[in-house]
Amino acid sequence: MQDDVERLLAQLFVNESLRERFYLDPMQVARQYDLSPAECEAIAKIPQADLRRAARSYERKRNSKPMLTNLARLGRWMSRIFAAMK
Amino acid sequence: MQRDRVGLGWRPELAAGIFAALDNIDLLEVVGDNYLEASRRQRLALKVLSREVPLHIHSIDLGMAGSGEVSTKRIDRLARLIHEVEPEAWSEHLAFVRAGGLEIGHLAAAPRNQASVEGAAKNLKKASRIVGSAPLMENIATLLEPPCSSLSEQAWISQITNASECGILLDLHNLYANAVNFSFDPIQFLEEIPIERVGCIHIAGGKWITPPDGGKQYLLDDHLHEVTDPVYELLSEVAARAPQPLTVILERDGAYPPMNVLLCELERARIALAAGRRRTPEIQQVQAHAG
Repeated sequence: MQDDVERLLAQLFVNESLRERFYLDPMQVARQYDLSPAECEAIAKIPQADLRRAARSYERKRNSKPMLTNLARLGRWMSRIFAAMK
Repeated sequence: MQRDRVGLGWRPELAAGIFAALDNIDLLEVVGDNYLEASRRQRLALKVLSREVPLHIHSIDLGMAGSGEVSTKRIDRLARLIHEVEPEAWSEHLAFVRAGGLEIGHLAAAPRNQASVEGAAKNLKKASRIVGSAPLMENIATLLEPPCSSLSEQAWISQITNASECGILLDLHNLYANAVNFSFDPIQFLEEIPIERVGCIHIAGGKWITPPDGGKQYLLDDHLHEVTDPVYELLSEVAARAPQPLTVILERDGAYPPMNVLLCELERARIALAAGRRRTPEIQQVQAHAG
């Protein structure tokens, strides 16, 4: 099922220990997510290097969110100044 | 008759420069997520801005292409902002951002198949109904080819836009990055999407990364670098094929250069658009001959 595939992908992106287990035995991890045999096979073919770099990229994004919140605050401050100038 | 327009992503760090250069910026795109928790007064300021210059609201966090139903609460919050600010258009991404209660933290490519076409179409209809207008949907950059896919990206996008009646926000750096990272022809991609439904275009820059293990270089869509020639060339190709007026937004998310550098990038985009428009008869001739 599509939602199970997405659930496993999300786990692989954020859960490092699951990712390590996946690198060692992808089929075994895939089978734990109620996937069809075809889905298990497709998931197991994910290139390790691609998964590693995608996970790293998402981790960086998650870590930068507090900074983005501060930037948004600064944006609101600038907008207030602009509104006051009108 | 409407003309092609070129604008910039609104970023707090660029605010002063943007106000000083509004004569050279046709429109602005604001990240809606940054204003969902804003006070009434802050939203009013955004509305004032939208009276000065045409505004698009760009949303990131809805997860429209996920198989799960998009949260009514999340759409409601965005709809309130859109109703208050009255932007010219709003947009989201063809991506999922959460699954099984887990937040990924950014945009992830959904498996491209019939199930995600139907899921996305359902979510887009729901969002369009609540907001009162359909979003433009953006193609995303991905570092991982989505597994369990049975459709090409262009077929997937075409089917979703047909099923949902949404327009396309065509991100040319995302297209270029995917094309070089996964070895496909971006021009063929342009030929196979309903280009007449492109309502907005993003341009941006990225960075080539060499993996520590010396593996194949890949292009990261980081929005921290200048727009490169291949992206302007793709912009020309779109302009040569699209019958409608085009709206282009330059995205820059950090490592900000002086404002005049960004204005030069806007000017290069205008030049690329004009060059593409001049090639329209030639492209039409080729298409007529082929088809």
